[in-house]
Amino acid sequence: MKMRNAFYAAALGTALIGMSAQAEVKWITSPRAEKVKQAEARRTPSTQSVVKRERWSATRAIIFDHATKTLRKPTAAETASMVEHLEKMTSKPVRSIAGRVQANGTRQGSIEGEHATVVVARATADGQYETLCVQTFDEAAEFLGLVRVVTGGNQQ
Amino acid sequence: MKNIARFLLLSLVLILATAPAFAAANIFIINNDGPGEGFNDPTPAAPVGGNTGTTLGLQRQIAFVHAANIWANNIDSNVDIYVVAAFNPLAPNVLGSAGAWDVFSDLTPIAPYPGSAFSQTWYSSALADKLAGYDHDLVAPDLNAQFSSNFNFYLGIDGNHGPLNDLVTVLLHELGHGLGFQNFVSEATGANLGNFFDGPRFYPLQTDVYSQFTLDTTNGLTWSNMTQAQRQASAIRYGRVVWNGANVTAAAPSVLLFGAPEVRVLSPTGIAGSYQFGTAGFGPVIGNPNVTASVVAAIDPADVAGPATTDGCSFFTNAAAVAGRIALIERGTCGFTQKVSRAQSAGAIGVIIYNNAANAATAPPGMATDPIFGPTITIPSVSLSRADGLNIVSNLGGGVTATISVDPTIRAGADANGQVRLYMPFPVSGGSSGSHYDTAALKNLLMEPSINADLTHSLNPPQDLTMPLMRDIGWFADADVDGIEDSADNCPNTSNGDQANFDNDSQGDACDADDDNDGVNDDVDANPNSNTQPTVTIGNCNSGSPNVVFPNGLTLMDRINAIVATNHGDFVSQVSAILNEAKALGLISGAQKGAIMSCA
Repeated sequence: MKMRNAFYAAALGTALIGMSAQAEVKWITSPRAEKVKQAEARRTPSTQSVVKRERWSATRAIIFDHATKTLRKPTAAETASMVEHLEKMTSKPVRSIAGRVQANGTRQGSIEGEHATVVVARATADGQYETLCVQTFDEAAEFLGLVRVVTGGNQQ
Repeated sequence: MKNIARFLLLSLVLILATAPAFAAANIFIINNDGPGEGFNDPTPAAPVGGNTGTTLGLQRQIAFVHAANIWANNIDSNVDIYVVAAFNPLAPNVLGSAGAWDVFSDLTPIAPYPGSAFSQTWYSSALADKLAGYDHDLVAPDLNAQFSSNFNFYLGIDGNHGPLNDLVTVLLHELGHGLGFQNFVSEATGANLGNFFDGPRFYPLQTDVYSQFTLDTTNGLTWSNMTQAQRQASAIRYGRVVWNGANVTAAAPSVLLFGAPEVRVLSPTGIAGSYQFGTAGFGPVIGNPNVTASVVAAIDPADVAGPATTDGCSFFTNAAAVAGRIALIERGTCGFTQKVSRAQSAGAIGVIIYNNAANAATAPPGMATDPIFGPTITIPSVSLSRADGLNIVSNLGGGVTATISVDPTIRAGADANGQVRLYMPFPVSGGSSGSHYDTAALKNLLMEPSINADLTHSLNPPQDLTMPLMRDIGWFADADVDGIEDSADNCPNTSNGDQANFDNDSQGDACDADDDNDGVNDDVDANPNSNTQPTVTIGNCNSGSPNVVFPNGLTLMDRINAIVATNHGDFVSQVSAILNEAKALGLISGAQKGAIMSCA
């Protein structure tokens, strides 16, 4: 057994044996989690949307109403919530990134998870959901049938 | 409101560890949820599908661990992988996300770890760590992931998800992206990622390892060798961009089935190839029967039914030319079924409808039926993008031959050369484009953009092609995680970065029970690294007598070389004693003893 596994085994008070090893739970502090929290706090919906004061409307029935067993369009509040979350989750760094060259010459690009892919889903008539893995807001919006309604601001 | 300080104290780490002999990576899942939410949701839940958790939070933990464990048992790294994860109340229809936290390039590995195969090429954090042999950032995670706490996932771990969406499958897919199954190109613009200043020095945009294997077969270039404009154009070449990695290509035959519906231009050569198409909700399915014929543009009157002579809304004026051929019609004004009905009346055996100017930026549509013409259609029809349609139109003068068929010689999801296609739809889908296998693949693959209901939890052939791609980008098999790929490792299950191999046989010393191959196992060998030269030599004199092995593992040469003599006479005397012992044991003959003594 490798030293690191032996260490973990000792720390957990258990034996880690091959593929039959069961995941163990341990509560620890982790500065790595703090990095994520800091980045999330900095991350805001795209400036473009704020400037344009955009509203969005739902054009497609993508939510299955279990009470009526029918598909319905998202409500205005649900649409706004989808837009808010998707803008945040699909926020991408511009092509310029925060980078640095480590002492040994390795280049580090700090994208802070902002090239994450996002899984969205839309309900079908039978109550099941079809999914799509996307990386941009526009693609998610198209899949979900969300349409931009610009109400003012710096329109082009 | 979340209490960050409390989170830090209560971060949950699920440790996944495996013994090195079975392939290994330690994946740490750091719980980013607060008390009472997400992973810690105390809502009672009935065990389901092998998930023994009795609360919603525990079931999420178990499902997450199960998915991470599948990855941990498939990839090998000596560097721990940290995934910060949470279940949050996301908006309806938003299931979750994951991705690499950082990217690295121009790695500086610790020997014998290989480092990056390509310079000035971004690698996802976890992969960069594996290739360099150390953690590049001790305070940052490798992946970040969050999933919906209000979506009704199937939380069982047995794959029997029924009508629900299987959380484990979604996790496997998203973790795959975070571990390297993605490019960092903006498909919308073709731009690479990551120019930056470090002090006064400017570092330009650079490619990524995924793009090193993304090959456009129309120009023979990988995305890493293209200009930004070339990449932008390539990102919408449906069916013509493939994965150029040896592991995927080798594994494809064991995964992908022969026979896929295709719209393929056969000639002229300049536009030949498979085209992205939309299907019709009327008429026969593609392949029933296969249709191969020359393509003829339908011409009809510009009249009240349709203002263009290309819209096919009226009866054709060139019916004779269309008869027995595939009719090419422009979208617009009247319904799809009406156009196909007109073509059928003219004797066409198939129909291609391409997008009109109003739909120039949209994908080939799925064509709905109607109760008037729909039931009367007996010929197959498909739709194309406007760009592809006009491309065919511009070549009609020289003759265009196309097929709407199921080609039994081509595997679904591969091209005619057997290379696996990447998803490059028109219009470009930033994100799903490029970083997924093509939706044409059959069997369905884990890393297609749509997470299909029939997927297993396997990452490997014959069920799936995920791991072969991961191997291609650098996740090489290294069961003992010593930095030496298993196929080249003289002890693939025992860490031995130095590859020391005293007897130069097929096994390194670290796993060789008899390092010097003298027939005495190391654990009882007085000298595991004996002098095993074939004959006894003293000085420059080769006796020709065999360098025999004593029962304790010492050879004659070991013992002669170990003699400490006060003078030559003493040396000869000690040699004689050793030889007498060997002779008494029957290891050498008297003549052989004499030959050695003459050298002494």
